[in-house]
Amino acid sequence: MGGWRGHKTRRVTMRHIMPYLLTSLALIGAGLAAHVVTSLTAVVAISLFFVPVVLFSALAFGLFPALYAVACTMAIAAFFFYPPIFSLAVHSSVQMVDLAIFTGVAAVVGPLADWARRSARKLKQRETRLHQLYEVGRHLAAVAETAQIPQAIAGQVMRVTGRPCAILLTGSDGAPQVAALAGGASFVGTDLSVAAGLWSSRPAMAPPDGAGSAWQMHAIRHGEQPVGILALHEASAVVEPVFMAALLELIATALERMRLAERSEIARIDAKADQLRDAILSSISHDLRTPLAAILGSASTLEGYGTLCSEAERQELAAAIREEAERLEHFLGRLFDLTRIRAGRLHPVLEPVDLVDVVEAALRRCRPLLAGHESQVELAPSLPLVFSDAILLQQALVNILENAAKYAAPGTIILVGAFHAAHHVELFIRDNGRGMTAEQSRQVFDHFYRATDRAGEPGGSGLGLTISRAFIEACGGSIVAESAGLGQGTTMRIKLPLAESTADGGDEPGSGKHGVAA
Amino acid sequence: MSNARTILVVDDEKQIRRFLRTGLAVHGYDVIEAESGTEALRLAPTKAPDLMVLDLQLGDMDGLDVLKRIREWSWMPVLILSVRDRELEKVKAFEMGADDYITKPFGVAEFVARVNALLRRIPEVAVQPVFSVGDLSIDMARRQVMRDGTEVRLSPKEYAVLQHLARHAGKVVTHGQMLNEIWGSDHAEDAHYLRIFMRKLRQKIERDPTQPRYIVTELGIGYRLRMQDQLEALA
Repeated sequence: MGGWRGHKTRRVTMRHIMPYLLTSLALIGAGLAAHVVTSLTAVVAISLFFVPVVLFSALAFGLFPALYAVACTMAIAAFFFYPPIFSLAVHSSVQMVDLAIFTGVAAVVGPLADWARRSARKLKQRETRLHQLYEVGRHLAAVAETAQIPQAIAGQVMRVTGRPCAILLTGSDGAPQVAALAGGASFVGTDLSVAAGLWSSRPAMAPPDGAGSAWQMHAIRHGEQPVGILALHEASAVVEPVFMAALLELIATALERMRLAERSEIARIDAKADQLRDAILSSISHDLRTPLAAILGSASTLEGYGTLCSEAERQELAAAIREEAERLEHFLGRLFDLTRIRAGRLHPVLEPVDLVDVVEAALRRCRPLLAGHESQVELAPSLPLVFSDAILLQQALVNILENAAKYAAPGTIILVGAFHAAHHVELFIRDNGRGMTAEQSRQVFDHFYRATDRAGEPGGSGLGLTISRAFIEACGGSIVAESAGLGQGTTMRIKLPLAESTADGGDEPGSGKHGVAA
Repeated sequence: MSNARTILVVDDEKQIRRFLRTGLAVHGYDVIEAESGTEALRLAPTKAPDLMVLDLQLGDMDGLDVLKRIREWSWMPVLILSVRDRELEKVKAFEMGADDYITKPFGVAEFVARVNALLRRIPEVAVQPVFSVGDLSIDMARRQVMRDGTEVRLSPKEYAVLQHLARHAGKVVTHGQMLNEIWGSDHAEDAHYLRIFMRKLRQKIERDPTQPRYIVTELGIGYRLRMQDQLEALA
């Protein structure tokens, strides 16, 4: 994990000279004070004047300025205060030793205190960083929605570094893409190319100074595998490498968690698709084989033993052949519709449609099926035209009616109605059948869904309502199933968009194009 | 059997021809079979059938082309055999002069009913100045429309549309044909307008305009004014 420091400042001279300058001034002050005081009273220990200076220098500037102060103090004392005056020679070396001990101790104590202070500060900083890392880890682990992990990372990094930051992940084309951005800085093309360079180079390589990017990039690795890039914007503020390494480790873990979650989601979808495929295959083979077996059996009986059968038996066999063939045709029709939907070959012809026409045509097609029920129609005479594909809509309606006829007891009412709602027309089909639970009303449009699969239940492909929904959605509408519960009947509610303007029905086409509904 | 009507069945599927022949023969029709468009065009002028059953998907040529060639010289009724989801093809067939269509697969009873209706219809509509269905009657000589014994007041365009439908009673009149005939070719695309217009007409002639019984829609194709036998078939 490599970083680079964007701005190297060289204010070395001033910063280094200042302590010595200040120390020298303090020494001169102390010397003058000592001179004044010694000329007035016979004070023996001039070290009293210089020890505070050495101490001050040591505390403020560290060991070297303090040692400089000690040396200067010795020289000043020897030259100005200890006889012979104005000479570096000294008569009594005891005085010099005293002075050297006093000032030397001061010089050493100072840096010790400084070191203690610095380590306390370092400890404090380390504690803050540890706390920050802990917080980041906690936050990232708490993100429930894995898709939000990159944004959470960016937010957390921004919080602890105080810099705008970006998270880059591999896009579909293998190049890095910005997955999350925090702090409002923008990531431009050149930045991306810098990132791409970092991506491809094996060891995390820092671009040289002035590489054209305002971003400081860090490769995020999980083991040896690069999983992403963390970019900090104009990060002149130094982030300690150790801290950065720990932070990147946390990020890598979070990203890995996201990757694993995605992978398990894909596996889950695959498993579901397999399940669906199996269900479709078994359903298709069942729905095709059953009528075929009946047809084959009845036909071969007629062919081989027709003369031995009574007239009634022959009639029965012929009827069985017809009924099963009809069932086969019905199923193949649905399968064809489904294939058309799945292949995306559904091209609805949307035009103004009168629901009166669609409902009448659908009921006409369902007549044999609905013969045992009482079908009722409730269409408002002023119902506006809808914008739809009449044929797809009719097919959707036929499927729903077939379903209703299948699940509602003979003799009960099946009601088809429509009314003008605020911004759409609602078409509804209500039956007094067995109804469904809330769970079932959500699943009823799924492939091959059947409310019950027990033997003796109404047969069917389980495709009808799936197709209805696909057709209605292709026409820009929507459908929901509603039921108060089992035994309470079902209402299918279809929302259809209005035809934008409605002609007034005058004798000339095009007249009153912008008029209100007739 | 000398006065038996002759029907030309054009289909390239042997199984279909066989079952149509059986069904029609049982009802007293003479059947001529053609397994290709070419054969149909050869047989039609020489055998002078009373009606043609035409599959649109033939091995050698498009059924629509056969229809076009036949219509150049003959007005015999043509019943089209078509498959589901080919509305455009049906519209074209009607505009080329087909009289009715039936969607495959179908039962023989329904098929024979269509054939009977097409053959019975020819003299009726042509000769009678009054067309009646249910409680609706259209007197084309007096330009008078009665429902349940009461005169219905129609605008001139409404009457024109109803008369047009009555002249082709029992058959499908496509949206395009209707707009073209009554309003002229400028308005052949105005489906929106036609829907509203038909709704108004139905309000005047239907007992329940939300459940029309006389003027019914062939979705994606056009309208049909039912004949009495078609209305009775519903009961």
